[in-house]
Amino acid sequence: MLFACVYVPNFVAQAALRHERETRSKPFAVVAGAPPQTRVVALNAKARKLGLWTGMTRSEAEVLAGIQIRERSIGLEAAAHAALLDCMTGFSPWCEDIADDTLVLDISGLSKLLGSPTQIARSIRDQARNLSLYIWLGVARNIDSAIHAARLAKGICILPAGREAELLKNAPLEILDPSPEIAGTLVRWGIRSFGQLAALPELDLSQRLGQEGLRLQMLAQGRSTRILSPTSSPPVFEEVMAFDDSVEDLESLAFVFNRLLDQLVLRLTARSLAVGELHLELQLNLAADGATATERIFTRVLTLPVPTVDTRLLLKLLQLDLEAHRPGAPVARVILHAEAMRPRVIQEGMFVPKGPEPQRLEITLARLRGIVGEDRVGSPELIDGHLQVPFRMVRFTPGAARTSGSVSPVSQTSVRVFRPSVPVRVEKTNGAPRRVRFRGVDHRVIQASGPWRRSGEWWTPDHWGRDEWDLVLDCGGSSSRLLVRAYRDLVTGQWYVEAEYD
Amino acid sequence: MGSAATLRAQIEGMLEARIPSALTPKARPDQESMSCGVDAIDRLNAFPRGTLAEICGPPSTGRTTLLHGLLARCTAGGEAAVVIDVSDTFDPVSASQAGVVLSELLWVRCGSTPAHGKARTALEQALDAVEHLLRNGGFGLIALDLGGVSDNDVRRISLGTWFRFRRAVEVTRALFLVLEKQSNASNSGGSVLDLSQSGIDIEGNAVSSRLQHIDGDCLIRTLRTRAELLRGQMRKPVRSVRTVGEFSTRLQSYH
Repeated sequence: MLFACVYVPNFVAQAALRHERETRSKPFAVVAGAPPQTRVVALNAKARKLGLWTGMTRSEAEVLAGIQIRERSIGLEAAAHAALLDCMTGFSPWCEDIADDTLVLDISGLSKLLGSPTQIARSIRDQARNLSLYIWLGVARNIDSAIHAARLAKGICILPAGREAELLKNAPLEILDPSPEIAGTLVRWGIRSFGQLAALPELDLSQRLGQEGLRLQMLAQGRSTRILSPTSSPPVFEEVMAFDDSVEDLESLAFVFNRLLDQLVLRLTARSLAVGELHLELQLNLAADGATATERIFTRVLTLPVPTVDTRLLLKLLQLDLEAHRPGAPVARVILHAEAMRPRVIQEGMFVPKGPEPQRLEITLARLRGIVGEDRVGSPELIDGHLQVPFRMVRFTPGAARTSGSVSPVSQTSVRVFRPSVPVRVEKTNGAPRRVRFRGVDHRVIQASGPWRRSGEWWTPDHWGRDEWDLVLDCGGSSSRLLVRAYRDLVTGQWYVEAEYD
Repeated sequence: MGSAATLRAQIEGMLEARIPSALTPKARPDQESMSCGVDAIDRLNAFPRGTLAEICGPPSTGRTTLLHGLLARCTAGGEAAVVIDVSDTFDPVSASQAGVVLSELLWVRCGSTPAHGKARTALEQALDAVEHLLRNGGFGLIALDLGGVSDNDVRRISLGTWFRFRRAVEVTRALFLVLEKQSNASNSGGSVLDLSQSGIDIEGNAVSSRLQHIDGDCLIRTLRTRAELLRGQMRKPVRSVRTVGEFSTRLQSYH
């Protein structure tokens, strides 16, 4: 068996700045705790050089010029940990979640795919770097030695079989994480490294420190019988970003979306998945000037016709959706959550007409919705009921229906429906319309065919009923006739022209 | 003329190695004509793919019937179609009865101002939508219904816009169909089908006496239409081709 341990040094700081590439190159500190006891909990090397240390108060840290301060975020740490887990499960499904900053994976058998243990470790490191995580790696024949090697190595450390004790002999005892009592005893004895602990006589050590002492000595000697227990929790694809100052401009938000989408897509790709549905949650700053929103949380859901990992497409869809549905207040925090789906693979038929490309069509539909309105673009679907408006608009998904290919010749006259129906003034003779006036024009009725009674929904408060007439109208001097469908509303008694035969 | 031809041949000869047939327009293969389901019109080959075709005529002349016929054949063949409905008059019930597969049809209903969008007229919305849909590609038929728009408004569409639409559709297998009262696309239109009413057939007692109406005493049977195809080819030399066909359709529903 061969195990690799991935350790993320300074995890809190890395997680806080995973989406802020520019800030990572500057001195920064992460603070936590309620004021006035807000203290620095993590910082980078540049901040340390400036004289900052872990535990100093926020006000002390802020005195130093050029320091970037970030609040510690559990959400960001969880997202960073999930990203690391996704990245590792891309290499091996046998992956154990040891701590937020530590994972162990079984890499036995990967040599055929990726080469030597060093090459495997480099591949893992490069993949993690794509997720903006800088990791240390330890590779060993047992889990504990791999963990110790990862925490010791500032990069990649490979422990060949049988040489674990020799290579770890200078490792400090803190890596073993002994209990405070045992750690104190060992310090009093002058034992500071793995090698010193490993060399102690076993029997004497057992008499003084008990079983725990023996366990620590075994670990220091590079021996372990620990079994890998793979993590089985379902993955959550979520990325979070919070702002110090809330953002109002949608274009600025687009940059943030782009970074978060990049991370989400990388994580999904590592698991051979794609985005099926994208949930956007914006935390709004309602106290800002000009805020019109009433709810603090603004959510949007984008359902994609086909699962995709195209970041540009997702970004464009988000932008178009937010242009059509503005949050109404500056944004303080962004959460993007992806529902993962397997990518769809389609074998196109040789004789099947090529339809619109789904991803491109989705952007076009979003643009059309921005032009004419949300519910004004789609496919009509007939409703099997006695309704005045017998259809509803549904999402346009071409290629979903099985078509017969054959249609009978055209024999019926189609109609154009006026929405809403046009009110009409009617003069009648013997119950039939003789003259009508609508849209400001008088028409003589040349032929009237009807009435045909139609009604529906009489069992509900929305009942309706009408007497319908087909009317042939003259058009002034023109020889052409106008053929319309008019009706008298049985509820109000009002006449309307509903449609024109064309 | 002869010297111009010689000069052209010389220039083409010089550029042959780098740009073959530099001054000769590339011949476009004839595209098949779409069927509208009316034999008399199909014989005219009025709706070749990759062109801008116009159906013109006053109301009640069968324009929408032909549009539904084209949509029915397009969607039943598994192709996606789109109707850009400027005055929101498309009737899904009537279209479904004509054989249109509604799930393959994208209906863009203009005329409503979105909550956060710019306030634009229905016609402006429609032209904008056409641009996006032509650019998207993949549709077999793109129909712009201007049948309910006044002539004055339609005449304001610039010739440049029509030309742009024509060029965009030329490189596709789609038919770009415009339904209107009068032809407006000028030279950009591949074919113009001009419809006029040739009669309405009535059945019943009242046929003899037009002014006498008694409840349900007559039945409007059919609408007869005369169709004239004004232009049928875009290749040079442009010839004005006039062919005529006639068809009639029943009024729907009550019988």
